[in-house]
Amino acid sequence: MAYNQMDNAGSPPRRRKTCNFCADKVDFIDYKDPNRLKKYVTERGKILPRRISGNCAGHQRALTVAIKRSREIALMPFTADG
Amino acid sequence: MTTGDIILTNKNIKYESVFIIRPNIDDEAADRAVASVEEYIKGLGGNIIATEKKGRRRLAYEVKKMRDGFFVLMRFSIAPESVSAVKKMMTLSEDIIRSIIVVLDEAAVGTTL
Ligand SMILES: [Zn+2]
Repeated sequence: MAYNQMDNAGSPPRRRKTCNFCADKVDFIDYKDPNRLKKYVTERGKILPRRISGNCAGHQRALTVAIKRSREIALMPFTADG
Repeated sequence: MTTGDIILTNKNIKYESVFIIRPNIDDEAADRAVASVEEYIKGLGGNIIATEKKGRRRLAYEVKKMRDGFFVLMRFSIAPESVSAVKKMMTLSEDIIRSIIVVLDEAAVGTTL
């Protein structure tokens, strides 16, 4: 992509963020697997935005649904500590 | 329509539920709670596909003052109009402290808790 070739002298080197789920060819994100999901929430339990996680729109949407279901069944926290 | 009943039974779709049974009851009572859900679903014309008792687990947050519970994963098929009754039954149960019911994704068939 063009911006990778741009000269960004002075700013930290930019790592190309790509969707982990696309890389692993994941077509289903399971709400019953909190160990996989917890990589995409902050320490306080908030869902990481796409600009941080680098996920594509489709996977981010599926991930969000999975995390919310996981919270509903007490596998993941809503906040830092309930 | 006179064929209403037939249409209804053909319309069953697959669901997946995870529910949590209170930890402060004995195994027999927990088994009875699981059986009561199965019977309730069957009573509404549904079928139990599989039930997995996943044992005692720690909860991510307190539920009704409890810090852990017995997790149960159940897959079943039922007419969509009966799902809210199943959810209500789980909510009203004294022994079930938390529950979720979702449409079973075909990609989720091999997954477990
Ligand atoms: Zn993706």
